[in-house]
Amino acid sequence: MSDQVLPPGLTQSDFNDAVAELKAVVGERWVFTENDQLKGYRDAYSIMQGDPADPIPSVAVAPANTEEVQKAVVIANKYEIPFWVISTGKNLGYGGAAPKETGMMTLDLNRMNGIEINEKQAYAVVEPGVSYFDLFNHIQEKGYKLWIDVASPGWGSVLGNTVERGVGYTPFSDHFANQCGMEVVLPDGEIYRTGMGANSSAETWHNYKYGFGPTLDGLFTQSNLGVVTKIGVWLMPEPPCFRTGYIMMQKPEDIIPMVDIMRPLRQSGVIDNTASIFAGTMDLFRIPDIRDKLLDPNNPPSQEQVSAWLREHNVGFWYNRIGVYGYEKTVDYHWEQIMDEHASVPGVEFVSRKHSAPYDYAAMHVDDKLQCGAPSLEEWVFMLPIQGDLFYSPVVPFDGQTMWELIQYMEATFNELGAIYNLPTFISPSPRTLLATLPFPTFKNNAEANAQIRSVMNEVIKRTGARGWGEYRTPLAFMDQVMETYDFNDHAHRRINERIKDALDPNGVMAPGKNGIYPKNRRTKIEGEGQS
Amino acid sequence: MKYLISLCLLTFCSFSQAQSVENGKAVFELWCQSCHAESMAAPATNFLISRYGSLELAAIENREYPAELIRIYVRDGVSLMPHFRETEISTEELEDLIAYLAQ
Repeated sequence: MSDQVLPPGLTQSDFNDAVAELKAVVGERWVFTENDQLKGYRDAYSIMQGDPADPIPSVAVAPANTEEVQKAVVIANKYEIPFWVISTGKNLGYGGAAPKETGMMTLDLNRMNGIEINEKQAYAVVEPGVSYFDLFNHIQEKGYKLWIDVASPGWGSVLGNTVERGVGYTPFSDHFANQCGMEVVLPDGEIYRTGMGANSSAETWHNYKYGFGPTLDGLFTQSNLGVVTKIGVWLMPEPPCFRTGYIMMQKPEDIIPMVDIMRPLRQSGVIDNTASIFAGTMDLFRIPDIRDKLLDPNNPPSQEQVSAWLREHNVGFWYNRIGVYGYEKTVDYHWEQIMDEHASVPGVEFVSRKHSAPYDYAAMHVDDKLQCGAPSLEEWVFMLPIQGDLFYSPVVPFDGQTMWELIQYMEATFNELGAIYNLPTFISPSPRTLLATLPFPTFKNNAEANAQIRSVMNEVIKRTGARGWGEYRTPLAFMDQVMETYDFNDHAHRRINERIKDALDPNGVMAPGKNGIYPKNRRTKIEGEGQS
Repeated sequence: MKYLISLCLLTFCSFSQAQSVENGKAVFELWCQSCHAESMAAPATNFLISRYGSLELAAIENREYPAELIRIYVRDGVSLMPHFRETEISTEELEDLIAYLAQ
């Protein structure tokens, strides 16, 4: 254990005692302290790569069940070791397996992989280590006629993505909205169950969300108030038919009618999934010879050439990928209706693929897989030129003119800051908002480039936050800055969360700094990048 | 007798090796196939076509990699491929994967 990173404020002797106690709880094999083991608890796509502050834990502990989680949390309290929690650790683009600060203990819940399914009531109960692949494969093996909703990539944790309020692509795409009933180990080690689970004899823990009195599930999302060890997830009954439709438009400013025509269709449920608007150039990255030409720094293709490729491959300047689900006649009728509503836009084109049960998931196009909850990594073909990425993800109104303003604002801002600008993707997990996602590349061996991107990201967060476009989620390095933009009434949102934090976690051990919330023993004035 | 023991050991080793390859195939299917299958839709294979010139050559099941290189790629990651921890792919599973890819 030479060059051992220690938790902040802990002596080597106390650390050794804590490690011995942790080994007694989970077994020697599942406590990791060697550098070769701990490097797996970094963020593979960290924007801090190359910087000495790129976080790495002092120890990682992998409990097998809730009882072991409780005991590990009690040990963390005894020695006042701050701990970070990961599920599958594949929250790529938002932090991966890394803790927020070097020296924290990482609680790795990947070994907790229990799955229960209630087909009649259409829900699953999952532990943190259950990935989308695991849940999908389990349902297929058992032959249940149920669909999951999958975030990309399929390695991600169903529970982890839900408590981070992630989104997918089916009508059940708002993962937290489709969560029902949690089991939580509080920061002092006590077990709590939300909703109907508060009744120890309840038969409806995963059927009815609210229980009696205040309902607290939201407290345990994007938070540091408890280790969520189990959740109920509502599943979509397999529909008889679905169709993936593409609506292509040819000009940059066509984003305005694209969004405005979609809005009422989305609000009325004619389009009932997370419709997603992509730039056509993204699709060109699927094609190796075009991708090589797009990435050739010595001979970049002209705009005319890119436009010709977009026409040749029929993807438009923008394309909106939507899903329609239900009985075949309904699916056909809704798709006709959707095309009719868009027909007035000059140059609009449509393509679609229809699938009927029983579904051959393996044979589907990647987009169709995602739209029916079949996990895949194939969407990563879009990210091939880079070594990693992070996402800037503001929430914006479902309004075409606002989208056009955002695009122009981002392009001007990026140009001013000297950063490469990529067109955003817009996804619609709710009928009233769009999430704009702008990817930034991260570099494994270029600390200077990573530092520049951090600087740009910090400025973009500050400016767009002031404009009212707050982010829904952000990587570890920017949590403090994003929380800073939620500033109503002298940051009442942060202050009330701090009061709750202090009440539930008096020793301030659980994930200090998660989403910008610190316990009282760690609160300092935030200035510029990171916590000062 | 010595011949019988040798035969038993050889049989056991063959069985053990076959089991390792079988386990390694399962590891590949769970963790690697989605990116590295012999398919244009598999992103890593798609990317490696630019380097190796054909779909067949870009699929890692068709290539020979030194065992140590596979260990480094799995534990450290490479390019867009993230690393994998002991709780995801155990040391034993990693050796099984290497045995499978060596076939």
